[in-house]
Amino acid sequence: MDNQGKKTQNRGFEFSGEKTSKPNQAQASEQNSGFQFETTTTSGSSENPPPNPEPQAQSNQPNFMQQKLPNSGGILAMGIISIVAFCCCWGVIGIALGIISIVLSVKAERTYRENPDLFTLGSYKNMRAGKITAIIGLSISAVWAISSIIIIASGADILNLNESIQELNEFIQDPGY
Amino acid sequence: MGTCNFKASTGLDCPGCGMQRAIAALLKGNIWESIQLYPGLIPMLFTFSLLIFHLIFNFKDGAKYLKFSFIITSAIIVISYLIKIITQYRIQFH
Repeated sequence: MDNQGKKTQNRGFEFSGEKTSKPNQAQASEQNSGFQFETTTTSGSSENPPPNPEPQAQSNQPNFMQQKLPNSGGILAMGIISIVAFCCCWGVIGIALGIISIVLSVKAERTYRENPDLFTLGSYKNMRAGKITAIIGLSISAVWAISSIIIIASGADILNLNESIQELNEFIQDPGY
Repeated sequence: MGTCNFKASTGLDCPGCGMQRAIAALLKGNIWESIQLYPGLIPMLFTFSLLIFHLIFNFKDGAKYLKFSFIITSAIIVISYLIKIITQYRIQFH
């Protein structure tokens, strides 16, 4: 318990350690460890918690023990880059980025569902936004890839219209028989 | 400037065509010209800068704003591309 408390104290006060004054540090860490490890017997930590030196700073960062979801920033970045990547290279890069981002976000959502208390809410929101943007980017790039394949397959008829009209005119003027 | 594969093989503009010219116009300071050349460039740059700042500083509602700006950007790109294609076809037919 003591070792765990020290560990959480070290981890927790990386972010807000300089704001809290030193004499209250031990009490604050004890209180935090009480919140963090709910399965352990709450001895003395839950009964009459000492007044916080800075309650606003504590309430602004209630999740500083929690980790970020794995790859949440990467999921968001890939989902957003997929809209730019669909413009070039026939939409292949957009499709690839969208699929990678969706797969990673499904994995990350599963790990978040298993124990939501371990991860920060901000990274979960990032993951959701990344999933939505990846779905949009993937659908747009897929539509673009399919339509470009159709355009190329039928390209001789549609796109070389002027040339084919010219050839037709030449053929009419000089049929060659 | 790099040439577009799609345009070289089909003769049609692809959804990214005009972006390099728009970047060049923006670097020269002609904002209106860059909007005319590629309307999605400035929202795209805004979205990217928002993404980078959000990943560094972790804004509170950053994910929501990113989502909205992404949707607006993609809508602008798709609609401007459709308009461009339709006007190109009209020029070809007349």
